[in-house]
Amino acid sequence: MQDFFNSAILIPLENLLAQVYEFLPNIFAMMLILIIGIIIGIIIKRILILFLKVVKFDQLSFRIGFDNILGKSGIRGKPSEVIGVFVYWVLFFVFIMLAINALHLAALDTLISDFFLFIPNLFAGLGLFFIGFLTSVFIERTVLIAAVNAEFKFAKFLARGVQLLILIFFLAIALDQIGIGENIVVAAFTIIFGGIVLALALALGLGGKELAKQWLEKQFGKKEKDEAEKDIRSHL
Amino acid sequence: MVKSGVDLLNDSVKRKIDKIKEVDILVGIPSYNNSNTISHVVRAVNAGLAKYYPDAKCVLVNSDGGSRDGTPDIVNQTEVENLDMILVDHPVYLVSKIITPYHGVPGKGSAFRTIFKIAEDLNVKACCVVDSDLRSITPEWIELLLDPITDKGFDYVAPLYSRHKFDGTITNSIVYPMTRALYGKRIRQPIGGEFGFSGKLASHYLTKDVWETDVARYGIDIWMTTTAIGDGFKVCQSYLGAKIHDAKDPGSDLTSMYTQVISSLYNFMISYQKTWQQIIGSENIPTFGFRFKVGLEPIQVNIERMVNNFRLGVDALNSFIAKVLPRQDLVELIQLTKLDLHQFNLPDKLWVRIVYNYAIAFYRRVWPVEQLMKSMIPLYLGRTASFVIENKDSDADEVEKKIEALCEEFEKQKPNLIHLWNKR
Repeated sequence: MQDFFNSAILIPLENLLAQVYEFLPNIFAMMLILIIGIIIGIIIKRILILFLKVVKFDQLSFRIGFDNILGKSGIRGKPSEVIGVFVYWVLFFVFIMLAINALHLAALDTLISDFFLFIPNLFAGLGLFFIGFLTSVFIERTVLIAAVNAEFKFAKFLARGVQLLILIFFLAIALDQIGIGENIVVAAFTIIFGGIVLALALALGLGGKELAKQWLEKQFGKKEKDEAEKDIRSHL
Repeated sequence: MVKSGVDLLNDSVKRKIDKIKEVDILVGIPSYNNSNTISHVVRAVNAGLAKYYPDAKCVLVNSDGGSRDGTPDIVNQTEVENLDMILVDHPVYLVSKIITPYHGVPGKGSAFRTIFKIAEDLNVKACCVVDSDLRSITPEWIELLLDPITDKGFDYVAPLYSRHKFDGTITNSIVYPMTRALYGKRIRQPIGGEFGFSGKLASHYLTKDVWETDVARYGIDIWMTTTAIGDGFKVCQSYLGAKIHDAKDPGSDLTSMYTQVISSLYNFMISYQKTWQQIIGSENIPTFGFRFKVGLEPIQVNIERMVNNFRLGVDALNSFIAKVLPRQDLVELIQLTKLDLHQFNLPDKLWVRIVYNYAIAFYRRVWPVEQLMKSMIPLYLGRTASFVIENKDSDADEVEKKIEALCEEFEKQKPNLIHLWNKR
């Protein structure tokens, strides 16, 4: 009976305890890494928010309409704080991965190394998309204002179309960089871009023949008509 | 002392300057493809110099922007006609001519810079500049622009014209009221195009580092006026009569003219902020010349087109404008877009708030300068349409009273501008 008790319960329990003792430092290491991660995350978040405020990032966001996009997405708070919080969570996630790694679980090793290989691409992709966003906002506004001053009735539509194209273009590059569906993205972009150009060509050919004619005449011909059309708009 | 802008002049011009050495009076004519009119301008200038300054050493400077229609050749070939009919005393000296291309950013301002440089090198006492597309210039203009400098001790003479009631809308709706409210001097045509100035002021202009900006283009006129007032030179104005000139270059569209003039005006608000913030109200400046009624060329006005442009602008750019104007002003603009043409009215008070808030946005760099200025154009067209509708049956004097009321509104709202400007 005693033998049975020893072999069936006590020895496995002793083994389990031995394994727990062996594993306990790993758990402490994981918790320590997590705590350090949280502290580093908070410090970096605060420094980043301070830096963004010093370089007037909130005013820049106001100018480029980034605050509007955040507002429409239901995200409240100043853009500098939103970015600070985002970076904090990214860091926290990185430290979670490091913490898991500290457990030395063979099953998770590949996953963790893949994650750390993925991180630079993710940031490069996000950076590319952000540059694309800034570019698209600037060009959208330039096109919109120019079209309004050229008295083009569909100025808004034209500007949004141009912005969308630029965003799609940069999204394709960003996704390609991150490595998500490279072939599908390139194919989809080619189809969409080609389709839009074809649609525009058809629209101009079929529906906007007169408009195109008028525009070309205005740009390259009939200066007498231009002179006649001069009115008080051109008097300083 | 090393004189500024040495490289502005080519060797042949430098040799000519060395030969002439010193002159009393310089008349500058900037030009670009003005073969149709420049001969008349040169003859009027020559006659004016011969008639009013027979004892003075004079030089005529043509600063050309690379005309392809032979404009400089016409200046060179235009001879002074028989002046016996208009002269009592025959001139002691013949008028010298310097014909030179200018260097730098293409534009009127760069042409003026070359003229200033030649004036400085020739140690000129009095200068004036006249446009090369003028059809209404007479010899008397030369005296009217130069006499306050040579005889009355002024440094800067602005022109005063009779203009059609709907001519000069940028001047009437922004530049004149704003210059007057900011700097306290009632210069009626701050961007007139013809100016007289002393040699001292010409040298002062050359010390400024502005020649890569809009000053090199259409911003030159407002810059000359603002600098003269802001730096404490003695200013006056002379009545010249009607200004009739050739149709504008088709390339000189409203957008670039408006952008360059108004952004220059706003830029000088930053440069002279300490000066204008201390000025309250405005005062008349000495005015010379005999005022008379003149017949004026009619001007075509397409109100509907301007109002449509205003509606389109407010509709398409409202999120953009919302970051420049207070919310209640934007709401007021949106309500205006719903009005019929005959009801359309953009009131003085709102217009002044728009101009001042754009100045603040310019100062704070809320948007890139070019986008900011261009977004203002539909609003300006709305204001112009409103002004035309309001004054379609008014005579010139009544229109002048309306402009006076607008100026008073600009002055009235100036404390608010100062408050917003200094608010952090």
